[in-house]
Amino acid sequence: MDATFIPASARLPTELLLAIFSRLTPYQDALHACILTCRRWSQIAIPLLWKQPYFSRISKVSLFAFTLVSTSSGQTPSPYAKLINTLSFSAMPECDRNNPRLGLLLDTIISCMAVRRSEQPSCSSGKGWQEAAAAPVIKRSRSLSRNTENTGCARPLITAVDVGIPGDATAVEAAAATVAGNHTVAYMSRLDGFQEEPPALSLTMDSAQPRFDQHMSTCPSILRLASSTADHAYMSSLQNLDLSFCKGTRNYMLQRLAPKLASLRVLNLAGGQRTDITVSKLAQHMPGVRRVSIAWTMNLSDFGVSELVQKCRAVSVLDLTYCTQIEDTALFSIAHCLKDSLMALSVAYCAGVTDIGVREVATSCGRLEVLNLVKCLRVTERMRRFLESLNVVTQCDTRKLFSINYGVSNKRK
Amino acid sequence: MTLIKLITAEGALIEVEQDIIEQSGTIRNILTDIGLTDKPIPLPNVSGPILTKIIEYCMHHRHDTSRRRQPPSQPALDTESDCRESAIEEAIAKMDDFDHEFCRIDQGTLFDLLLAANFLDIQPLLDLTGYTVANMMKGKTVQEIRDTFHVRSDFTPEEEEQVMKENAWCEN
Repeated sequence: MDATFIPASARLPTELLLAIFSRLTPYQDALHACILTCRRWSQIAIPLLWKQPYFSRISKVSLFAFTLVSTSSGQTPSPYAKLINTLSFSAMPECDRNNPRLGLLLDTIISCMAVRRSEQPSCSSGKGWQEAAAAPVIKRSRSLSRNTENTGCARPLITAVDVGIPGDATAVEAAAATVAGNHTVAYMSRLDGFQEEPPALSLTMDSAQPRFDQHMSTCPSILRLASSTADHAYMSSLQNLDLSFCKGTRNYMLQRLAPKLASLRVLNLAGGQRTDITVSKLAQHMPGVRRVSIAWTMNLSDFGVSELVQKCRAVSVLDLTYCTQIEDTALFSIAHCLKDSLMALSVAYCAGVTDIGVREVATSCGRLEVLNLVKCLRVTERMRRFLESLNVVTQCDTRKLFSINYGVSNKRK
Repeated sequence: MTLIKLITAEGALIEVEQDIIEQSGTIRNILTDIGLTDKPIPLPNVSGPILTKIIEYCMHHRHDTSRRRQPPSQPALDTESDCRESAIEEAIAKMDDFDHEFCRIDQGTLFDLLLAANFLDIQPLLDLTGYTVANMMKGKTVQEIRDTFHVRSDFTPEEEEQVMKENAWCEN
């Protein structure tokens, strides 16, 4: 080896090294070894490792959270925080998933990542898409403080987004969703205040919504309180969050974190014993969410589903497998609110679902490709044939299709 | 069959049938832009032996059009990054014995192929070589990786310790 010898690897341009390292994403130890190899490699591989951290045990989550906290200084968030795009805890053993500490750690991690919007310069370079995702949320929160003039603020909202990110379909779409949901804003802010009420009240919510509305309109003080708390707008790089079967993150913790989850695109809450209130609270902060799973949630009722779809109009994949309380009302809400976005829905094992609701979804959602009806005992053979005539798949393995890691998980051992 | 003339980095002239070399996006674009021409196309980044290797690869995959990555005909369920990931998955699944045998070459040639595939925009070959290099990185310690790829560590001891500490959460 003479002095002028240039190793083959040094000839690779950064983009090729990046392409190679990104193939190692599922193999965290390999990526880790690359990071420790030399400066150049570590600069390329660190963002990949942090983009999609993967945890085998809760002790790793703990170390991860600790690193985030210890690398941040004062008001400046950790340089690693903005790299995180996907968080998944579902690969840990059950005892770790149900460990209440997980909730606290999640709180720490998400809080490290969330940046108060006002602290962020408005035209930061590079991650334009993140701004795009967050922008509509901000506008919306501002409109909350004067929720008496909802129709008035709808128009400036759209133009602001349009000008800010020209040609970005995501932003425009999200903004459209915001406007579409604008009439619900006032109602939402009431809901905000509502949750600060004793829980006894919240139980009446799903059954007696009109009465609740009446009740709230007589409580202007709560209304004011709501708009002041809803004024916080956060930005975060977190787009995918998998909390499936993680009972360790309690509902109240998630509700508290909701404003910091505004940038989520994919959310998996399957089997976490979530309630209508939790889903509704989360939904109001995530107008841009695309894929949602609330499967295996026996507490979830039509009300929770309706709240979700009213506020998250961009949902294209929705997994409600084994949400046994779901009935046709939920399907009607889905058909009404998601008619332009829904591509896949699973209501497998939902015995309350009948032909009527299924037909409504199938006929209004033009982009529907999958409607999983496995073990929907009240859906007739005729309806299934009708769906097939529309080229809609009625039976599928939901685990893969609706998985948060769709396209990624199968690479992991 | 039309023959396309190519000039390698050394200045040698190589003739290839059009449908074979059109697996290269770069050549395809050149031919679309200037039309069929008798003039040779210079490839200053590709040496003769590497070009021969590439032509061998393209000859083998001459007739399987499925390998050439098409734009998705229908909107997939995942419009975002997953699309790319599953495309790579698919590409890996499609690799055959020839492909694996093809990559049993010394590291210098492998990296040259990778660079040439990138320059000539031959996606399946880029996938194949990238996948092979990535596989070489799997299951190795830091020192083994440094030895394999002749990378010299330029970390100061403090830096190395810091990087190690801050990424320690992912160690098993």
